[in-house]
Amino acid sequence: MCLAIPYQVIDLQENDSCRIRVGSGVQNCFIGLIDSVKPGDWLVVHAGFAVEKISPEDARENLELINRYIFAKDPADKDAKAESSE
Amino acid sequence: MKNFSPDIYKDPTLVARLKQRIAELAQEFKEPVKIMHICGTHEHEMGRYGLRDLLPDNVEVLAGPGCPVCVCDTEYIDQAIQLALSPEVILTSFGDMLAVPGSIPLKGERKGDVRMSLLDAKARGGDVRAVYSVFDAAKLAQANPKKQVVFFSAGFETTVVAVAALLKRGAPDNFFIIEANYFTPPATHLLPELEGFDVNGFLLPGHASAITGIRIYEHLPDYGIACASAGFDPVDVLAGIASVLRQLVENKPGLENTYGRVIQYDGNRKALAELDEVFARSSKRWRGIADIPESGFQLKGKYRRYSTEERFAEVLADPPERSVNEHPKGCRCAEITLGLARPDDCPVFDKLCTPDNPYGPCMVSHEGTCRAWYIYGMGKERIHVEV
Ligand code: SF4
Repeated sequence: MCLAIPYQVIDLQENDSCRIRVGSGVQNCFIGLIDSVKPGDWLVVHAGFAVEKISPEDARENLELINRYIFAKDPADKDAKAESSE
Repeated sequence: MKNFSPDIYKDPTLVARLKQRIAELAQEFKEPVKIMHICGTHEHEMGRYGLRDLLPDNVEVLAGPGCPVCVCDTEYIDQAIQLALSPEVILTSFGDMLAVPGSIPLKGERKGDVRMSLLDAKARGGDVRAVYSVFDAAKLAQANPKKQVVFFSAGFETTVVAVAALLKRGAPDNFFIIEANYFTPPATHLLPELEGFDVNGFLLPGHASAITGIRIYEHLPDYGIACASAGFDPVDVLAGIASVLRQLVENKPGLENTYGRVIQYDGNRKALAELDEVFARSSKRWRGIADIPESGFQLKGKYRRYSTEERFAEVLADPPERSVNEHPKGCRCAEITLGLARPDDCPVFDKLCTPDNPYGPCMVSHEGTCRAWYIYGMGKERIHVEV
């Protein structure tokens, strides 16, 4: 099953893998399908492999989209202020 | 936002604002609005966070065919059982698949039309082991060179792509997979054509769409269905619902990506390339639903040697006696996976069928609709028919 929680990379390991922090423990994760993973990155993990990496930039844009397109009363209102959690 | 914090997508203030926005949008509709998700984890998280309680009465979210355990063809489950009972085999699977009944009758042991699961095979001496990932199954093969290790690869895009990545990099010679590999998008071609299907919007899967992208769903707005890809935190699910409602209010059904921090419009190209190298698309039987063209993956070329259909052709040519009905008598999973019934419409929900003793497949997995409804108390207010 997909898990909502992203996991943070502790360090890189051999064979396209890394260690991630899971609660108070540590697990191995395959990263062969993701480019340039480094310690501190956040990964979306499914059954032992990383599906995607979440960048702080993408997370901010995601929140902005929710604010701009969902809360703006006029869909064409490009000036609607995004309320990101900066 | 310099650092990413996952908790912002659980923010109670934003949840409250989304609830209010959804209520405002819902006032624009004279008829009830039906939104279907096609990912079992959406059902699970909606139950866990009680998100249906935040929706107005005229907005209903239905569960579609998004649980791989529920739609897995009985033939694969029966094959897994048959192989598990071969002395040379260690059968590995995600824990969720172990209790799923297939179609081999189990007479006289429990009440009802009971069928064998992998747990029953284990009780009969089969070497059945739950694994966390396909990589763990391959390690088990390495550690047991005298055994044949079979991975029951039941799952959607996210499971299949991990299998492809593993096989491409080389797996042990004694490692094989049961190709119960399903592909979600073709099912969404079938759904709008079904009689009685009157859904106004789709919440597209979260992580399966991270692999495929959402371009592959571009056909859905042509049916007048509004779509939003959505993640799994409360803000994500509610933002997806608000997006669908907004598109409908504006009468502009389209595809909106409300989970842009994870999903790209064209998906994960590297993952798709590896998938294409190892697997070809094929028709698959979705349990209780239909044979859906192009909705599955079969190993191709040099990778076919990892298929149990090749390696165990002789054993599988002599299958055990099987029931002709895909679901046990009385089980309504076929309608539940199409959003045509609710778990509490089933006469055996919370009676013969509970998570500890699942009678039908939708009660087994965390992604199963009946299990989510049972665990999180949904539908318990209805009166059940005794059987
Ligand atoms: S409660 Fe759900 S899983 Fe159980 S028999 Fe009924 S429809 Fe099938």
